[in-house]
Order: sequence, then C-alpha cells, then structure tokens
Amino acid sequence: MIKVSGLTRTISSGARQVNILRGLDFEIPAGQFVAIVGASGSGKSTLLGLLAGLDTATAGRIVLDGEDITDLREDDLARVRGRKIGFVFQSYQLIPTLTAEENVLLPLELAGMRDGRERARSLLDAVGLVDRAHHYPVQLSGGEQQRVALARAFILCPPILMADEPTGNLDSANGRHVLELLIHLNRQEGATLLLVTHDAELTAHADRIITLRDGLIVSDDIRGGNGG
Amino acid sequence: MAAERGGFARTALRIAWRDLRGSPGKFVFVVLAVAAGVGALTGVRGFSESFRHMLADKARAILAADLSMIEFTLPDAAQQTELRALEARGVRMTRVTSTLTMAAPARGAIPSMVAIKAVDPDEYPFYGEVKLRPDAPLRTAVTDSTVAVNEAVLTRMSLAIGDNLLIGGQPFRIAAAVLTEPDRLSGGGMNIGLRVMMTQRALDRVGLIAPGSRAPQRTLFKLPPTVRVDQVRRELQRSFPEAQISDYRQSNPAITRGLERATTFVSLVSLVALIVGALGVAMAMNAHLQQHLDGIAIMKSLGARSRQVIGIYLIETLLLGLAGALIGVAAGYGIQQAGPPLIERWFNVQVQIVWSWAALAQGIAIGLLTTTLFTLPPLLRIRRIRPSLILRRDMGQDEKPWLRRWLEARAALLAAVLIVAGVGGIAAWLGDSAKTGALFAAGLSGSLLALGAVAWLLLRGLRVLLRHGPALPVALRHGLANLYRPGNQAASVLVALGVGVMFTLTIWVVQHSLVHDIIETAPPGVPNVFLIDIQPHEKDALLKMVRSQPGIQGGIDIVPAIQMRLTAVNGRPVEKLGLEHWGRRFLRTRSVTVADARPAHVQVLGGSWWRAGETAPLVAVEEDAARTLHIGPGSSLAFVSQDQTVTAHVATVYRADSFRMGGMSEFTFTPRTLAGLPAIWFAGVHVRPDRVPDLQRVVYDRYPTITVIDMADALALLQTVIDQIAKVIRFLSGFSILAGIIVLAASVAGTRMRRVREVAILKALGGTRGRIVAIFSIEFLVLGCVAGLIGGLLANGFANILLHRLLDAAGEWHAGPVLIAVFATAMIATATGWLASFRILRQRPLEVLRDE
Repeated sequence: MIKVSGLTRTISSGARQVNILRGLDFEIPAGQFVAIVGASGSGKSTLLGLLAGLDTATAGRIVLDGEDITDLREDDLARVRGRKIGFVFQSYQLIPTLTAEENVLLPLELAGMRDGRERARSLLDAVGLVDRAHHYPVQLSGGEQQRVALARAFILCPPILMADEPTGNLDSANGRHVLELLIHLNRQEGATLLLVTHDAELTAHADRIITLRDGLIVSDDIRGGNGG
Repeated sequence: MAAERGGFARTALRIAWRDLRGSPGKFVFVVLAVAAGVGALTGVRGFSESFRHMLADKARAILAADLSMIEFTLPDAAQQTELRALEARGVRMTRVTSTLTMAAPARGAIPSMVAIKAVDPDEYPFYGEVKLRPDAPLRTAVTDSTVAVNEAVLTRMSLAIGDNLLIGGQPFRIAAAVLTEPDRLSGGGMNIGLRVMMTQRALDRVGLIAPGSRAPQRTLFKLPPTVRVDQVRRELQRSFPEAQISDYRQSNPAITRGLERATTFVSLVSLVALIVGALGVAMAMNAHLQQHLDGIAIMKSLGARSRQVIGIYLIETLLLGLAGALIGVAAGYGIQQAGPPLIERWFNVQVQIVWSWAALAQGIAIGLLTTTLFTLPPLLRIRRIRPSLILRRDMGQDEKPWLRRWLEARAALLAAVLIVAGVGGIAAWLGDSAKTGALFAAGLSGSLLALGAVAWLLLRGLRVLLRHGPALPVALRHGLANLYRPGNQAASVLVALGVGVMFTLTIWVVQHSLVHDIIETAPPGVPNVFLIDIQPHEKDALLKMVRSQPGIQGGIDIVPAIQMRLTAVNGRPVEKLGLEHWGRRFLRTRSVTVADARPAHVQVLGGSWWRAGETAPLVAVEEDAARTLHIGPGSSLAFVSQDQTVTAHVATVYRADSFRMGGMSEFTFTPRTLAGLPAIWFAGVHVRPDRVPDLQRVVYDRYPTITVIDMADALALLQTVIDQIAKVIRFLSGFSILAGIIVLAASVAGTRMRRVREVAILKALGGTRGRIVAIFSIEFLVLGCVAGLIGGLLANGFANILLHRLLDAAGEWHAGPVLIAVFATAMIATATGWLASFRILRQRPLEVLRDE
C-alpha cells in the first residue's frame, strides 16, 4: 500500500544543512493502523507530510497505492491527495469561510464531484454534528472542529488516512471522543491509518508502532491485529 | 510607578523594534501605504503651491501690476497727497492712459480711429513682458518720438515698421510692432482694433488729454513685500471712491474664479490622497495585528496588560508611520523635482519649485497623525484579545451581528469619532477652511456609513442566496462564500476599496465638471470679434456681409442695446439708495438689452426666466447688479429712456459670462417691454484669427462708423490660461488616482496571510492550482465589482455635493465612469489579488500548515 525507500529530507538553515529524515525504508500494507511516535523534532510530522505529498523529499521514493508520487508535479500531487489520502491536522485546518457541511464537502467538490450531500450528512451524523451542519468553524469548539475535520477526511472514502497529532489540541475528554470516532470510522471505512502522536492511549490501539529519533527509525514494532 | 512606566517604554520599544526587524518583508505594504499617502500629499501640496505661485505670477502679469486703479477723472490735490504717501512707503506706481483718437499714415490719407495706450516705458509693465517685433526692450522702441503699434495698424494702413504715423497731426516713427502685452485683458475696455503704444510725455505733447477729459487713467501699483495688497486696496478705495480698483487676486472674474476653484480643488485632491493612504494604513495594520493575535495572546497570558500590548503596537505603528512618512516626503520631493521639467515640456507652463521645511514637517506630521488615527480601531481591539486564544485559534472572530458588535464596542465608536474629527481637522488645516473640514469629515463619515451599510446588505444577500438559492458551480459558490463568513475581512476590504474608488472617481467627476464648466464659460467658439454701434438700418446687410466672409466660424450673436437710466427701485428713487463706489454707475445711463428666451450660457440663480412670447413687463438682472441694488425676483424697477418711463418686475437673477454677448448688459428685458425704444445693435462672431484683419478692413470700407473690436488675442491668452489650469488639474488627479491604486493594492494584499493558509488547506485536500485560481478570482472579481459599483455611485453623490456646496458649480450624474469604475476596480482587485497571491500558489502546503 505504502512503500518508502531511502527517504531523505534535508533543509538548509542558513549555511547549515539539517537532516530531518536520513534514509528511511519501510512498507505499510493496506488496512494497517500505524502509529508514528517520537520525541519532538524527531521528524515524524515531516515524514507524514512527505507521505501525504504535502512536501517534496530530498532523496528517496514514495509509492502510494502502486503510484510513485516522488516526481509528480504539483497539480498531479494534489489529485493524488484528493483521491487517495484523507488528512487530519493537529489544528483542524477548516476553511473559515465555509460551514461545517461545506468543509466536509470540499474535497469532493475539489475533485469535481457534485453529489455528496447525503454522504456529508451521514458523516456529520457519525461524528455527532448533523445539527451543526450550517455552523461556521468559529462557532464550533475545538473538539467539534476536529470532528468536522474527521468527517472531511473520510468524505472521498480514501484508501489512506493520515492524522498528525489529531488530539494534540484537545482536552482529554474531547481527545478521547475524537480518537474513538477516528478508530471507529477507520474500521467502518477500512482505510490504512497513519497516525503521528504522542498520546499513549492512541498508540495502544495501533497495529504497529514506528518510533523515530533524529530522522531514523529506531524501532518498528508490529503487534499483530488486522494488517500485521 | 513612573520609573516602572519608563522601564516598560524601553522594553516596549525593544519588543516593537524586534518585531519589525524580524520580518521586514511583511511591512512593505504598510510602509508603502503610508508613503503613498504622504508622498501624494506632500507632492500634491508642493505641486499645488508651485502652481498657485505660477497662477499668481500670471495673475500679476494679466494686470501688469499687483494692483490697478482706473479713474475717469484726474486725481485732485488730496488724492495726489495720498498717492505720494503710498510712494513714501515704497509702493511704485505708473500711469497708463487710454484714449481714442484718429490717426493717418500720411497727410491727406483717410484717418482711422486708433486706441492710444500711453505708458512710461521705464516702469511699465511691473509684471509680464511686452514682446515686440523686431525684438527690443520697450524703452528703446517707445520713445517721445517713436511708437509701437499692433499688427492691425500695419495691415489696415498699409504701413511698415520704420514708416511714420500721424497722431494728432504730429508724426511718430513706428519703431516696432507689438506682439504681446501682458495687460490686454485688463486694459479697461479699450481693446479696439487699431492700437498705438506711446509714451505719456508724447501723449501730453500732442495735447489729446484736455483737462476734464474723461479718458480713463489706469494707475498700476507694485507693492514692496512688506505692504499688504488688501490694505492698500482699502486705502485707495477710501480716497478714490469713484475709481475702479482691482488687484491681482481678482484681475479678471473668469481667471479669479478659475484660480479659486483650482486652489480649493487642489486642496481636495491632497485630502483625497491622504484619506486613501490612511485607509491603506488601517487595512495593513489590521492585517498585521490579525497575524499577531497569537503573539498578543501569549504576551497577555504571560502577564502583559492590554495597555502595555497596545503600547508596543502603537510604537510599531508610529515607527512604520514615520518610515512611510519619510519615504513619502522623499518621494513627494522627487515627484516635485521631476515635475516641473515634465510640466514645462507638456503644458508649456513654467512651474518653479516651492519647497519649505514647514511643508516637509506638515507631511510627516499628517502622515503620523493619520496613521495613528486610522490604526486606533485595530489597536483598541487588542483589549478584547483573550489569552485563551492560544488554545482556541479563531476565537477572535466574533459571531454577534454587526450592529450589536458596534453598539457594544464603545471604544470603536470613540475611535470612529476621533477619526472623523481628526480627518475633519486635517481637512480644515489643509483646505484652510473650517467649512471644508466639516464638509469633508461629514462626507467621509457619511460615505463610510453608506459603504458599510451596503457592504453588510450585500454580504447578507449573498448568504441568503447561497443558502436558499439554486446550486452554483463549486468555484463560484466557494468564491462567493469567501465574502460572507463571520468575522471576515470582506466587509472592511469592501469599505476600503469602495472609499478608494469613491475618492478617485470623485476627483474625476469634479475635475470633469470643472473643466467642462471652464470650457462652457469660455469655449473655443466664443465670439472673438465684436461689432459695435450697428444702426438698425445697417443690421441685416451687415450680418449678410459678415456671414459671407472667409474664416467665420459658427453663427453670429447679435443683441440690441438700449440706453436707459434706472430711476427707482421698489418705488424708491435711485438717488436715495445710498449707492457707493462702483455702485454709483447706476446713477448714469446704462446699456440694457432684450431677450425673448434665456440666452445660452446664462445661469439662472433665482426666480425663473420667462417663456417665449411673454407679454408682462419683466426684467432679468445680473447677479452683481442685483447684489448692489439689493433686489431679487419680485422687486420692481423703474427706468427712463428719452421721455418714456418703463416699469418692470424682476423675474430672475442670473450669472452671465462676460465673454458672451448676453453677458454685456446688467438688465435684460422681455422684448415687449422695450418695444419702440431706439436701439443700436452689438454683434459678436468667431473669426479665424488670421482672418480678423481682413474682416476689419471689409467692415471699415463699407461701414466706417461701426467699430470692430478684436478680442481674438485677448481670448487666446485666456484660453491658454484655462487650458493650463485644466491640464494641471488632470495631472494632479492622475497622481492622486495612482496613489489610490497603490493603496487599493495594499488593502487587497492585506488579506494575504489568510489566503496562504486557505490555499495550503485546499491543496492538502486535493485542490489543483486551476481550481484555486478560479475560487480566488471570483472572490476578487466580486469584491472589485461591488466596491467599484458602490464607490462609483457614492462618488457621483459626493462630487455633486462638493460641486454645489464648495465650488459653486453645477454637477451632473455620470453613468459611464461608474461602469468603468466597476470594470477597472474588478480588474485591479483581481490583478493585485493575484500579484499578492502569486507566491502563495507555489508554496508547499506543509510549510504553512505545520507552522500552526
């Protein structure tokens, strides 16, 4: 499903070169729930960004669902993202100009599809926000915004779902609610789930835990489950 | 406490400086907005100052003096003492005598009537220059035995330079031809075709001016810088009650009106540039604070008080304002430096740079003041930023309705009042008139309210449409949705853009109307040749002959003149009205005329003109006469002509243009009222300038008693001045419009940070660049169209108010410019939107999104 080889990301900060990722190799089969953990600055968010095609690698290759995305042009990358990846950000990243429902519908519309109102409604229902479909992000709490973001991530039934610290900005009660929804929805949709997190509770549900330190994989712990 | 405050001031300054230095690129637009406003202001101010000097110079040249006094009698002993006292104060004066006499090329030849202008060539003219052919100083050409003549004398009398001319029986050698003389327009009505310039001593020698003669004496005064022109004018008015006194500030009514309007207009142009710049500052500062919400929340959560945070950002504002003001002043100076050569080449106007430290300081002070004023609302909003913002990002955006937010925000209301008062004060300072300031402030707040209301209505309407209307294409819906989200910047961008459009378009409409007005007052086709003293039996044959002449352009204006004397006003004998000075002219016989319908180019000020065929005895009165006699519509006037008394009611008070035939009389009657009274006729016709001498010859041959007055060169001079005024006004408007565009661009670009984030999100969700371009283009287009429409409509209203209230000119509605404004604003908004968003599109989503 996801195949990574020799993945390197270097940024230059002034005259200095900083190696954020130093040649990672791994494969993730379809349907697996992978938690990527590591200390702050270990490169886990950079890795997720590269896998989602939100950033370009310095060296190495990434193959998503059989498609090599390494050398794709900007717009092609965007299409791949739209088709294959649902993404949940730590700070929700809803479009403030659009209502909850419109935010959920956005990936669908960006992909050029018109009919998705039913699915958007059912997803909002699944995250418990169907009565707030016409509210704007500013009118929602952080937990509610993240639930909208979850619904949005699933709208196109992506084969891969990526989440970057999805509960990082939420209190524990809201965090737990979002986490439960994420896992529940993922089970229901059967997507491959990549999760960057600090949260021990989150990792406890994962099939596999990849631990990063200083841009290298220091442990890759497969614990059975559905994909393993 | 004071020490603590001083300590914090230093800390605040340090934090502000660090913040500014940390991201210099971000502040380019803020500084640019201030610089644009201040640059426009100082440039325009300096420019207008230079222009005013140029006009003042020209005005003096038109009079050839600072002050001129025309008397019809020689000064008595007391008056001579008064003149000597003035001389003792350093006032220079010289006499110019105008009279009519006959002259002939040789003994036995047919004499012609010539206008003599006797001057003292050592003194005359005080300003301007007499240009001669062959080129020579006046004092060497015009001596006690030589004269200078105009070209018409040479043509008409078949003379050449060097020939003799007999004046009063005495021979004078023609030393030169007069090409131009500065004071032709103000020469006291003696601009008759054939003109001879000679010395005062020569005039005395030929004995044309007998004691008691009514030849007009014009005395020109040149004042030393220490003597005020209005003071001398008052003194002269007291000692010479019968004299006609004018000074360079009003040497000719048309030019004076032009100058006054130009001055007011130029001040308005400066103000507009200033306001547009200040709005740019507000927009940019608002965007800047939006980006710093987190930082402010963090500072607050670390214990900073609102006042301290406001202090930091106030210091930033002042630093940015100062930087902008300095750049602006430098730019304004550069514009001024570059201006005059350009102006000289394009407009043939010599503009001298007038530059003062006071203007410089004024530019900087106004730059700082407006920056601070307009940044007050966003700065005050700092108080409402809660530390909890760091936990919940978008909380700064309020979801309450607009009106309640306004009512709750007393600080914002206070800031609004301060801004309006401050702008009014600055306007009053710049326009040098409290009325201008008040009107400007009222206009500004009125239009802000109107713009705000329309913006609110529009956003509401869009919301309803999007929610309940038909399904729209995604890009369109998304683009429109961008306009109406709660707490968005669309409303403020709309207001800022709208105001920018409104002001720039107001300038255009005002300028257009003014230029139109000036051209209407003295259009190129006005009569340049007047035929005077036409007997009724000569009229038809003369008109027929004139019409058949080459070079006649347009029709012939012809009006009758009837000699009448005013005897009573509202039943009171005119002698008992206590008329003074020039008003005493009503005691003498005056020329009046008749008209069946309102003559073209006559403006009705009060009452209404009669309908054609009116039988009632009615009279229309020119505004100056009405003012002097204290009469208005409904008053009754009694006149006497020969032994016939005519009583008529005033139907209307009008303003006439003195260059038209209709404007030559102060009283215009219905034809029936004066039927049967003896009339002579005056005709005016526009003749191609090179054909004027031919026309004069033809008319003189057939009708020797008809005097042909050549106004062609007089009007050409006036036309030149008017053209120059119009051109400079256009140039200044263009400058201000340019400043407006820069600021509009800055205000659109002010929403850049929001867009960076949205583009990143859209990309992360699979949006291609094409789709994102479509979404944002629609937003920019709609924003631009609406701002253009509102601004255009308000500009028409605003311009009309200005024209009526301040400039005393007629306004009209312009639909074309509104359409152009809509289109241009949409294009500008889209272009600037994309100029600012260009880099955004190339940015990788992760760079933006992981920054959170």
